[in-house]
Amino acid sequence: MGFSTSVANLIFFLGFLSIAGILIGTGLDYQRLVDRAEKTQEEMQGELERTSIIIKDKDVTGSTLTLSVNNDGEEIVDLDEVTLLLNGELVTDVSLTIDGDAVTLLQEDETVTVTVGNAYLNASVYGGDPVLDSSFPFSSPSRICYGEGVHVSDGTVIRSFDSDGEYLWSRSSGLTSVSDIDSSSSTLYILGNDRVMTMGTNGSTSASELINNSGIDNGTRLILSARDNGSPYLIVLENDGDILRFDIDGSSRSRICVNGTNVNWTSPVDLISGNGSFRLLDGDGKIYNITYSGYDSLAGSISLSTGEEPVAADSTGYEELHVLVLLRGYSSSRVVCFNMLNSTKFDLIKDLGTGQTDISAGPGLYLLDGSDRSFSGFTLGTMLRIALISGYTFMEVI
Amino acid sequence: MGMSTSSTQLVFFIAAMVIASGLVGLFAETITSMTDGVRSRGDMVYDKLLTDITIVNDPYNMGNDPVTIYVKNTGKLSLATTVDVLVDNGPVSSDNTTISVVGGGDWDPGDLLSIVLDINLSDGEHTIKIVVNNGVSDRFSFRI
Repeated sequence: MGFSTSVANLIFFLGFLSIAGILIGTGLDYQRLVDRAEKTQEEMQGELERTSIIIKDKDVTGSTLTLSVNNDGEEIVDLDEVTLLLNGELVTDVSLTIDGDAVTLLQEDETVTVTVGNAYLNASVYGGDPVLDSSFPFSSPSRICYGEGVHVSDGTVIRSFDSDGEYLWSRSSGLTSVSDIDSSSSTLYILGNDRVMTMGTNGSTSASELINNSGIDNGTRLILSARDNGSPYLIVLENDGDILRFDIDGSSRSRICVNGTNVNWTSPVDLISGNGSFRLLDGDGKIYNITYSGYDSLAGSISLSTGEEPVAADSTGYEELHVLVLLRGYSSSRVVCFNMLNSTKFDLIKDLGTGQTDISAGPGLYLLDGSDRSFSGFTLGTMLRIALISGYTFMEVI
Repeated sequence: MGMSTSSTQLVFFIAAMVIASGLVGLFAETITSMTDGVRSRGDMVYDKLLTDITIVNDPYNMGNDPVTIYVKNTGKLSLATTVDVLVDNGPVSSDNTTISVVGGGDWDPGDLLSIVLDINLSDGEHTIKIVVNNGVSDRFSFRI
């Protein structure tokens, strides 16, 4: 009996010893596994916190975007599986090189060249708060242009503001029936019915006549359009649809388009500056390419909703390939972006009031509301988003 | 008498052996089950700690109808592509969801998962949450 009990106890003892061993072993395995995972997770988190990249430079040639991206963090950046989005669209045609050689690791303070093919860069807007409130004593302002300040005309007075809407100066002397304004560096060009005047963009000089009344017949729109490697031409649209071209000093007048003779467009609305050429927007929403010697081709058209009419247009972006058209409908207005490179169109800004009278685009976008006597400023550009394998994400308007 | 005592002791001995072995066997089965559970739990915790996903969309440029979401595997493990999608805290039916790994293959670390939702969102703020099969999730807010 005593022997049986002892053997049974021994079996129980050995059994519990085995069980305890198994349990302790399993517990230790569990802890080791979790410790290892936690350590890896801490390393991942640390790597993420110490990662930082900045864009040092950018260039666009045709549809190829080239970025110089610098590693300014404290970690070697793993460029493998990099994700790049332009305005929300995934870009797959990306190459990463240093001195022409493909790389997958970016050392600290090293710069990689990111080349994106087929980068059809669309403009996007960010922000959009009114920068000038309606309390300013405008009498139905109709024209706005951006350049060394924001300049607004109500037909008889030009007032200038800084980009935050801070009032700078106003001029009315010598100005009558101002139908349009544009600027080039330090000079403001002012179109009257039958003449063009100039003044400094800082308001330090009064308006002086550049082109007298023998040159223009009922001018409605004026732009300065850049020539390749030269000073811009001064382009004037007349009420009947004719287009005149002047040298920047007002000389060499040339009637390059005669509506009804060598061109035939309906209710021309606005001129749009380009790079080596310019464009015309008509009342049907059609955009025409025009060279400095005359009509070239139909570039495309904006689809108008019922009751909608084009009000004004401007261009921006790389090589001024993005035409921004202000459309006014029965109950709201919108700005459509037309990409001249690939003919895509999309609504850039929606649900604007119906009092919008003009648009000016450049580094930023300005919209003039004649009813509210206010203008709004928007940040304009292409949103670049980069995501790395570590989970680090980067976003910047370029 | 001596013989019967020995027999009785033998019977007790065998009975004690049988009972002890049975009990140890029973405990062993329970312990095996427990250790399997602990190991399984360990694997789950391990997987969860090494899993990370990041929604990399541009919040300023979200399309609508369809809504395309890009989810990057920013963890250390390959993941199953059977994810749950919640829009404004409501699940999106798998009938309205198309999921694929950009470039094909498994959803390995660094790879991008494309989730196309055939839904039409109203104007305004929205939130999307993606949950992978081990419960790890990421949330993303944007405006249409």
